[in-house]
Amino acid sequence: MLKSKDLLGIRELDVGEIELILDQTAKLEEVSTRAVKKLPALRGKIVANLFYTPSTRTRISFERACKALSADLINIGQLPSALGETLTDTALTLQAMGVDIIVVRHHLAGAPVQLARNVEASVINAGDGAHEHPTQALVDAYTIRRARGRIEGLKVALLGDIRHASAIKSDLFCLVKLGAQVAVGAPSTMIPEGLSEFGCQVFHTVEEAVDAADVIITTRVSLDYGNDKLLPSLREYSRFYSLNTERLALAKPDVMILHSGAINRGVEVTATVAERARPHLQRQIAAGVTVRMAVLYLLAMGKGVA
Amino acid sequence: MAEKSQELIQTAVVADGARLEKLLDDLVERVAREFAKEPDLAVVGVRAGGERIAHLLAERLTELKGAPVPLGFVDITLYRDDIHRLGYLPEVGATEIDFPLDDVVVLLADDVLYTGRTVRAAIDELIDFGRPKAIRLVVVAERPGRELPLQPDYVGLRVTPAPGELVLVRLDDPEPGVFLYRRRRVT
Amino acid sequence: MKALLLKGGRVLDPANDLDSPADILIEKGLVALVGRDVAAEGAEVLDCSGLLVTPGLLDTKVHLNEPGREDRETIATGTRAAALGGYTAVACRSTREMVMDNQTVVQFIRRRAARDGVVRVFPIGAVTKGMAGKELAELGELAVAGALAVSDDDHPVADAAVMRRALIYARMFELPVLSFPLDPELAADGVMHEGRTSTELGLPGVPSVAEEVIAAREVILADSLGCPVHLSPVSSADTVDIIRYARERGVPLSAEVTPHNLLLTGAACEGYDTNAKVSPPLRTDADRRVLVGAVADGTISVIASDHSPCTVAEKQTEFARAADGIAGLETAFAALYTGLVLTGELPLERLVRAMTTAPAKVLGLALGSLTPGYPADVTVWDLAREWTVDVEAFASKGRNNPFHGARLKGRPAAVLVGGRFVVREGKLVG
Repeated sequence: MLKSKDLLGIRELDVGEIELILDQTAKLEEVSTRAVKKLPALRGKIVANLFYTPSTRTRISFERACKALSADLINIGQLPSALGETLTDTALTLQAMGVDIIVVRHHLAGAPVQLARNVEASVINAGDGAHEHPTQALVDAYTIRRARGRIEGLKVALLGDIRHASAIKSDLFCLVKLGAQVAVGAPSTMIPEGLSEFGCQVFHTVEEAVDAADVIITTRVSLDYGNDKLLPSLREYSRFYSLNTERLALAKPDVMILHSGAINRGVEVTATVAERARPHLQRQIAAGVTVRMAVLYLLAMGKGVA
Repeated sequence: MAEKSQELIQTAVVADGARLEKLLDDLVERVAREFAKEPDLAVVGVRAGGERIAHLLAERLTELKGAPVPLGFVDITLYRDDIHRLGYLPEVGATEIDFPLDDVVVLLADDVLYTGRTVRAAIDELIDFGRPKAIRLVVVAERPGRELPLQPDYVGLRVTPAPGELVLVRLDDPEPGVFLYRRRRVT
Repeated sequence: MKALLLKGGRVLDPANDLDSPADILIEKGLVALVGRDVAAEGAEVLDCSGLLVTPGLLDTKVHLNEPGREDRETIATGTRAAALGGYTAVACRSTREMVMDNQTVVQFIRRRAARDGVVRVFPIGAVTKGMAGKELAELGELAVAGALAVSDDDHPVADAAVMRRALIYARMFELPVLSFPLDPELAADGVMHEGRTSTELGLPGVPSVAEEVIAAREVILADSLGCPVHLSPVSSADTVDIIRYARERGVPLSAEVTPHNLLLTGAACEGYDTNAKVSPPLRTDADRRVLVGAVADGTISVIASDHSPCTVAEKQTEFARAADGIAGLETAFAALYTGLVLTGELPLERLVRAMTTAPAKVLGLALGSLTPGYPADVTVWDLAREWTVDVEAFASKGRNNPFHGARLKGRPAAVLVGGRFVVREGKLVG
């Protein structure tokens, strides 16, 4: 069983819990091969998708996972924030509505944590600013484990804006916990303070980061994040940091390439390399639904225990 | 059935190993002859108790038909109607149905039919795979106590335990047989 | 008014280098005599045996929020909180809703304080109009109206030319300038110290250099102009180095630090606890230890509470959106006594000095000491009294205090302002 009623971050999970989620995902995989891709396991449970910031992929993934488990889904878009309702008020409203699980996506770090403190329902962090995006990291871990059989000992390179992208930060925590050798490759302006204290190597060149890598995970890079003008231009990033064929050749020949989120062809990866990532993309998207099914199932089961 | 901290005390032997073997042979033979001519047929065993009888049925039917009969298994854990009352995380086994079920006669096999809830879950799961032409229920043992209106089509042995007694069918075991047990009260 | 004799206490008056058993005779609201075995016929006697007697504490950075944000605090509730914390005088700062950039606001506060305040209230005027950091406020009029110093409080004067002008101009009216050392561009949208914890929590951080850069600027300005500058407050170890550098060269620079920066670190933000959200932020333990050492050796001369009560709604929101501040008047002395004096990190004499005579000097006040002839602002402390911090029991309207639930030692048994009891037997009078 999972130890907490919520899934707020990878930092709070121990290795046993991560493996439980991945193992449960494996067991649920065959559901997607059926004619009716549904299980009644969460019938009667109410799940609310509370997305303060848009994210089509993540939202749809959770929606499909809910429906596959026969749960009832309520989609709450940006409404509460627009109306100026506070986080606490939203929590109390959802509590009163008898919601069992709340999936929250918010641009301010810590919002899901604070929400979880004020509700009895289980809260899943679907991405809170620069903090964490635990389900995405679990999806990536599952995809890698399924393809390679294990994570321990693999050399994984993380490329992109690790300062602001919660998913790749969660990837870092998750892969380090599972025993991978993680190397981060990004311009210095994108490396947050103290990152190496989390068990990874930090490089300011892609070449060093992808050297002999078994897996490369890239994340979308944008020019600015709010007021942070991190890079002079995307062209500069593209020239020095884009994952192209030459840089890719430094990794192992059978290197696995994963993307976290949407791809900017020509920025984080060249079009050629993007094509190489295609086979895993299908798997990743399918895994996205199954991992979230596993998380919903495990959290719902947790509530049944006194 | 998940074993808990209570001990089980055997109260009676309904059928010993030899009798059970004979029982199984008779049951399998009966069912197989009945469905040998059925063109679209499949056997599905309910995990874990129905696996052995499902194997036996599939083998015998394959012999009689001269062509392989599809064999699958369903794990009903995620279909249980008491899943949120268990108080623990159940082990989910693998469901394997690698063949289409549309317009197929499915022989659903399990070891014991009691309340009917397991069979209800198995039927719901099968229907999520397709639309069988018919589902016929084959059980090794059947006992009174139905909570749902479900009856078996083929039964090996009818058992009438006393209130509070359990019926256990042990097939692949150093000591096979059909036994009655009661739970030792743990103070 | 009858004479009052505080008998048999341990009198600690750093201004007069006094730390010994003594009696204090108070007549006509003034300190008349401090000595051993003082006889006073007809005087009321307060037995202070086993208790510590100090000058009443004086705070240079308090937000009373009246007028403008009475939902957060009023002069009445704020001064009561001060008294319960052992303070007899507080200097109140501007807030965005209530900028003391003109004489009218200053006069209003003085009148309201005279009516509602239970301890002395001194207004600190603003440096610039609206605290926008662009145009100087009417510093002359502010001085005449009663402002003791000027400060844009938590709004840094980012334009060096404006600060330079302010220093030269304020000096004409003998107004100390209190600078909030923070570079807004470097601080950006930071909400806590930039370091490992901010990375873990995914919160934008305020790097220490944001403070050091402006602290260095003020040193250079103070040096070149010969104008005094008081850094209000500081939070980083490297800023302490800058202060030391300045003082070694005789630059007229002084500084203050808050109790929470002396006791807590950025780790207090874990779990997104908004009670730990302050500006300047709580930094690392290395910073904390250097700050404590700086108070111990006098490099940082003043401890200021930076009392900033917030409403519940302002704190119970996403960390990045939450208001800054700790409502710390009632816990300041006790937390420092328990956390630093009892552990041996800070001598009691230094603590009392930093909260009495030193702040009085910065503001040019004849207060903060038990010198005969001075107003009888005295606090009698029961240092042995152990109590649990309960924010719900605060006299302040603010409930935002990270020491909630902590067991602290030290509470005022009595507080006198001008010889009148404001706190007696540990409770507010009247």
